[in-house]
Amino acid sequence: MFVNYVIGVLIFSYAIWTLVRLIRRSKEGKCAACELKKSCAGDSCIIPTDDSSGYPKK
Amino acid sequence: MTAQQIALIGNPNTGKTCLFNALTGSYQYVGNWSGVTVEKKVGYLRNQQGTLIDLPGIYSVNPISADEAVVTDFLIQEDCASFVNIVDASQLKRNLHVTIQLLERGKNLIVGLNMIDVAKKRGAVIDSARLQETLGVPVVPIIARTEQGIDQLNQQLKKSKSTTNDVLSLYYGTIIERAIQEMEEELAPLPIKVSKRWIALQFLDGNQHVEKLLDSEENFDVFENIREKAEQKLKKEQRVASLTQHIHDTRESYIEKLVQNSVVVNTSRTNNWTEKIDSIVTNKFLGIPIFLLLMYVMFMLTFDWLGFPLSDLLDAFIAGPITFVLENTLELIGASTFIQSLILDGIVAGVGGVLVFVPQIFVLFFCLSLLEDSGYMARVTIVMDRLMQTIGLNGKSFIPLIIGFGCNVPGVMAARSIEQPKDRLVTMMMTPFMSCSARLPVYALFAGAFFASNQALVVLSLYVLGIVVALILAKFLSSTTFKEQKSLFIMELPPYRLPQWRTLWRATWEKGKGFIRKAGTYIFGGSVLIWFLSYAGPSGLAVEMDESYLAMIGGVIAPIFEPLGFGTWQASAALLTGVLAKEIVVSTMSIIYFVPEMELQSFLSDQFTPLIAYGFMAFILLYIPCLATVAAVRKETHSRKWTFLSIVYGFVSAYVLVFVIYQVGKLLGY
Amino acid sequence: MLLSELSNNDIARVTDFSKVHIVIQKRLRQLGIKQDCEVCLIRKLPFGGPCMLESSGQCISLRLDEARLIEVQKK
Repeated sequence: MFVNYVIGVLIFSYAIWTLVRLIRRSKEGKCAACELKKSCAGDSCIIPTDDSSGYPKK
Repeated sequence: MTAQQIALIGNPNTGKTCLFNALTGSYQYVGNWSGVTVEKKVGYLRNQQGTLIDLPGIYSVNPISADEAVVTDFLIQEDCASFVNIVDASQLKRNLHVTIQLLERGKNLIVGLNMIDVAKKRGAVIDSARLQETLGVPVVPIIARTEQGIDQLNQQLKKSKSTTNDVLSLYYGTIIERAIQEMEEELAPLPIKVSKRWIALQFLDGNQHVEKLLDSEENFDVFENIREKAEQKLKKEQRVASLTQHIHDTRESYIEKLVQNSVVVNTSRTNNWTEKIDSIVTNKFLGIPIFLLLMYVMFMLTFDWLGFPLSDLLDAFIAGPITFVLENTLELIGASTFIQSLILDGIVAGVGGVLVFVPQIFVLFFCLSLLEDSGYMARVTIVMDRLMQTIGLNGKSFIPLIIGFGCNVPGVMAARSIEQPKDRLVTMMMTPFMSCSARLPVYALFAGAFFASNQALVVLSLYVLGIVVALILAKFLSSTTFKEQKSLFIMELPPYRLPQWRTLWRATWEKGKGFIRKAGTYIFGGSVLIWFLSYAGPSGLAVEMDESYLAMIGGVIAPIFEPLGFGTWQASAALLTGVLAKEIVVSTMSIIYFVPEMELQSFLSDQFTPLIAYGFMAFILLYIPCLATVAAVRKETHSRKWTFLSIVYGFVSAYVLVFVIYQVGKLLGY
Repeated sequence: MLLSELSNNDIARVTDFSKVHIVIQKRLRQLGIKQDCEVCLIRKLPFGGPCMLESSGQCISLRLDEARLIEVQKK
């Protein structure tokens, strides 16, 4: 019985985490599609936007 | 940050990204055409001394296209970076224009003289020591593709200090020098991080991004006045066409001298096989047929000759041994029916249903990488330019479309290298109609079930359908909204090169890996969620699927699809989940029909006729782009309106077209 | 004469390209095309498609419309 709870909780929490991340990442747009995520030094994958010259206010 | 920050900069297609991969040990997308890298990318240097930034290629610091503008903004904003300027030794003169502009900004620069092997073949031997002496910055000869000279470059990087205030001061003649001086005085109180002389020069050169920087200052009129006056004076006294022209000419004559002193040319043009290949693939009669043939071969490899049999093998493996082992293990540890159902009917069906298509996706990505690395991509643009001109676009739009076959998101981004804003926007609107690799499993599933004998042909027709709808949309846009704007085309054609197996394999693996990762993350998550929605209902757990929450949700929107032939809650639920990511459509169907993928096809025959199945596939192809693509369009267009329109265009064209297919098909008695 | 009037493998000297669209003009200049430089017309694509030029070892493709605005002197 105990095993069932462990597996159930593990699977559901992982599933929810992946979906939340998908939606968050997709909204961010390109960072989700970037292969460099692992070695990316933070918020520097930037596309110029229309409002300023494009760099984030740190 | 105290860590050293180094940026790679240089002309397009000179091997910056190739060098980036060598220095950081990461893998970035490389290809053989101008404009592969369209954004800033950051990685850690292998020897842990700091970060390396890969920038898009530029022909000049004064930008024309959106990817070049990324670099200009970088140069204006960042003051801590030191630079590695990659120079294509075989095209030294025009590459040095960028070098000069960088040196005018600051001498915190190392020149990486790339492709010395190509230059040598063309008969140009470059005296890098001499070049180093004249430029006053280190010059390191390298061959990025084979990683030659990387160690020397690394050593130079260690030595380089970004704290140098030295700049190159070319003498531009009294008129411009006076203007620069006046500008510098005006600029003095402003908090600008980089060399003021450089800012002044770029402004005089008409650099719009530097203009934007100064735009907000009160003395912007003064700047404009200075420029106006200098231009008038130049025109009158020296009969020069424009300031820009004069600045360019001054640099050109400096470079001329530089090259004369440090390059020995033995003119013997040997690189003739590029010309020979070109005489075939851009041939009057053969050009378009060869392109279509290549596309056909790529397609058949994916769906028929190679990918399909491999997928079948994998399918048998998942449905057989893997399921068997899992079943027994679950039995052994005493899992409840809930957990058993979750794992076998949810995860194995959902994730496995998508995983079986991995071989096909690898084959597709391999073919795309081959196209990208060889140099043929640039030829596609000229072969297709005439056709694209009739719909008001240019041949360059074809690159994003072909990349879109892999994934729409990089396709939308690749549109950045298109110079005309209107051409770029229309291309971004077209890209979501390209049938990406995530839609491939849907076709494979349905075509296998309903059109087993001519599967490939049916799927091919869908790819063509996507292209045709995209072309019609483009024609519509450029003959209504953008009627006034002319499309332009100019393209540099790089020499062909033999793709390296290593590069090809890495490119294929990196893209394919993404798909496998998706299976482990959100396809897994989606499968669990969908399984739960189908397992639970208002009356509790383990309900009949027709009374589950999923059936309720699907049932609400099902009537909308009644006229299209697939007004079932199952189809609607699959379409809903597909908005999240198109791969999940197949997962959803596998779970809903409660069976492993192998039997799914026979179950489907009960609910779908071949006609409805075809309509359903066409609908999946065209309807709302996936969430990631919508976000990419939003980011790249900076416009809610166009993002919204791209969703509307998709949905409307899907609905209308499938309606016609279904109703006409029914009349014809299918 | 005009660049568009050259036949395949003709070599010519550019005398004026100030009439072409400003964006194309800028790009041409960046690619190293300038007054008095030599270009070779490699071929023209069918149905009035673009043409391919060679200039100091690099290959550039340009629309015929634009080539019609570039004045050259045949060698």
